[in-house]
Amino acid sequence: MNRFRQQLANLQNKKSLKPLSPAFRHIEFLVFGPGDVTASAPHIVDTLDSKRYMSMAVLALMPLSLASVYFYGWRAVAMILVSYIFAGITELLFAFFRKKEITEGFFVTGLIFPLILPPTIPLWIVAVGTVVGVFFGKEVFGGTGRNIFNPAIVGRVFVTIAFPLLMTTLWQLPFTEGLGGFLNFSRPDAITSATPLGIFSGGEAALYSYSDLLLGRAPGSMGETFRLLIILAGVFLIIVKISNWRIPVAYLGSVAVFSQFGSMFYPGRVAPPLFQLLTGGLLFAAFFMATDPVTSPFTKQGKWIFGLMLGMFTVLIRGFAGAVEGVMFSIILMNALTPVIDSLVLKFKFKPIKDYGVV
Amino acid sequence: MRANKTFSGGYHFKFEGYPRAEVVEMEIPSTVIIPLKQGCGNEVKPVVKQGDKVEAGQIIGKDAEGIAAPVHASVSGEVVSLDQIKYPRGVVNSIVIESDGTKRWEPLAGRQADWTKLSVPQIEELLYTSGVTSLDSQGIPTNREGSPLSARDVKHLIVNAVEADPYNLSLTVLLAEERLVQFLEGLMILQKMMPGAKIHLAVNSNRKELLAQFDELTRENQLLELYPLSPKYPQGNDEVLMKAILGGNYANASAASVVLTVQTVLQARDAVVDGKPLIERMVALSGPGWEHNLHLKVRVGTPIQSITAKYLKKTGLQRLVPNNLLTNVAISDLLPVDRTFDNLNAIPENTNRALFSFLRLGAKKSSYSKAFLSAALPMLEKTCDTNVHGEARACIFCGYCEEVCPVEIIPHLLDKYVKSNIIDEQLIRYGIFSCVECNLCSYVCPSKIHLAWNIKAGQQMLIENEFKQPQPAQCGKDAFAFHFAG
Repeated sequence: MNRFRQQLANLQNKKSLKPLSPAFRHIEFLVFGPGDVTASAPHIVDTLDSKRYMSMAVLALMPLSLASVYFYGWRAVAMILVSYIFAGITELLFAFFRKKEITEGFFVTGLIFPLILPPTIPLWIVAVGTVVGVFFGKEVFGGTGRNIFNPAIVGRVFVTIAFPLLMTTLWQLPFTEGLGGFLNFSRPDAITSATPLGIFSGGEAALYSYSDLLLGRAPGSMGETFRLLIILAGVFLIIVKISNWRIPVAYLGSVAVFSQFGSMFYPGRVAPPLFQLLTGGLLFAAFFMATDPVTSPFTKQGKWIFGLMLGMFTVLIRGFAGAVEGVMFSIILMNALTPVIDSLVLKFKFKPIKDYGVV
Repeated sequence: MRANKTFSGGYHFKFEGYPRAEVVEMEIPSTVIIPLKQGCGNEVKPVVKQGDKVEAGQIIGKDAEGIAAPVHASVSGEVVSLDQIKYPRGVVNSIVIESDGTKRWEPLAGRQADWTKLSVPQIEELLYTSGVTSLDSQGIPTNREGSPLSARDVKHLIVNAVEADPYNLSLTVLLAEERLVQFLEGLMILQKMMPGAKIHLAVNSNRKELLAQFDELTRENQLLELYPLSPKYPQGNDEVLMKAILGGNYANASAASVVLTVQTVLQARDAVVDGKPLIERMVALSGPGWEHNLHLKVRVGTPIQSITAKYLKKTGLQRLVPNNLLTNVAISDLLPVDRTFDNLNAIPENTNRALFSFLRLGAKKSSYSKAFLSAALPMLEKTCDTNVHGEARACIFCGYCEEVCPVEIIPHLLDKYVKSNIIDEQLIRYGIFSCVECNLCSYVCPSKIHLAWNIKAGQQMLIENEFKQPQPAQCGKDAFAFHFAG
């Protein structure tokens, strides 16, 4: 092991491989934990670190990724690999030019991004979307911890606007028999344009039952269809304190309430609550994307406001806008409002100094 | 008994190496080094010179103005030299005594087994002469001139028996057998000196038997108000404890309150009833760095080297930290045991680069998050070492620092302002001066950001730029801090 570490150190210092040195350093710290000790008080620190934090999110998404292989074939793995590779390359380039380290944010982005794409999307579009997401969604703002927008959502919005037909009309029907997708690469002969949300906004009769929607038998993006597992994985993340519970509760609750009223007054446009909750990328977004700690408010009250307004926008866009899916646009909108929400909450939470008297 | 009161945030520590309720009386050391500044008060001047023969309990250092408590020889023997000790924060004069090995000590004149016969000035004289008035953050208030807080002005006397630090001196050891009644006796002595004070005793809520004993013993005489408090760090911090006990009255009452520890009350009683000067301390040996985790009865001035030679683990380096592990600086074993010590933490310096450390199950890893197997096994003792456990990263707004903060400020927010060099009233508005320096925020941060340092730096910059007047140095807040605050 020492020789391996020595070799990695040598590679990091090699002049001819200079652009790759952040990658070697990253690998070194993935394999070997840090050997440094604390400089002073508190002398001891928590065992959780950034790598494990991100790994827990990846762990929660692993069953979902496996499920997407079952439903859509091994092509899902190809998409995930392409996403990771190109996210990694983008991170590497920025680490090299900025002379900083590769951080662990791309562990999560690299996995979430393919899971919110339709399984039929060509691999080169996955690559383009990843690069745009990581570049414009994160790196130009200063890297991990400084981005305003969720990088995966930025990638998806870009791909949806640049390739609208590929992103909205070509949905693969999931494998549902036997070993399903584990025996196939993909299913090019079973493409439909009708997702449950699309069917509703087209005014047609529903094709899929609630149990179909829960158990992944309805078409949709790769990771959004097996909704029961999404809920379990999301709750798992909340229990281990990686995700905050306020945002999913606020988001889903808000969708339920707004769609209840909406479906009473505009039954043709706004679907009823249960249907809203179980269709589209809502559950996936509520548990895995809206909860991104960097792009959501850090104050507790801010999180409630964030979730509430997310729900409002989702129901509005789904019901009254041209787009079928409202979730990704709601998230982008609310990401932009996050700093404002935090400022307002802080303003009310911390009274101005003159109320304290003489300082 | 009052209902449990507490504060938002905090963290329950459960590490391996917790000191067991076993007491060993350490043999008299061959040499002792007595620092001339210990606890509350300025450095005192030596009243002996090289070659003088001294008795254990004899005063060897006095304050010319009579404000700081005197310093005593802790062993009988001969003064070898007048030396200097290099503490992490500065240099202090000291007296080195070579002992003759005897255990006897000279009791103080004026002591009385029946202390009720003593007048208040007599009690105060005993407490002052014994050195006990220099203990804890503000010392013990007396009516003597020079006492920072006058005893007759004290409205609340709070005794901290919460055992909330990562490692604690055991109440079982301190209050064994007749010591429990003697502790109450000590409280009565202090009450006589502070007639206007209400006594509050905050006890670790897990100690059911002790609580029942206190309840029974004080039901008749209504000596004190008993508070079972959950041993959640930093409940033992003065400000946090005062807030929990004084409640809404905190703002007005805190200036007239004093917080003491159990050992202080016991030693006050010993000074008055037995005439025992402050020459000995009960010190817990905590942490995985010791071979045996026990309690030592040790003479003040004992070189820590003699303790480590006997009890420290031989393999690997250990970091020595006195009293509160999370707030004090590391010390070398060249220093002597001080009269303010009640705990010596020895934490292994772990420089091993564990393979795939972030992927381990972690049944024994301590974490505020529940991302390790240890979350499912709360009864297991967690490992404790000084490794950083991760690389420094940018803040990801996980919110843990805000969740654990006992004074409800937002550490990462203050940290960002300080890092961006935006030093103005906004920081004061966000509560930067509420920080009690418990260091929990730095402890929990997954990005390994030194939040507490930066908050402290922000405070200092605000004072330098005159946004806030500096507090007058409080007697004891900086007594221990002078030497050891990190």
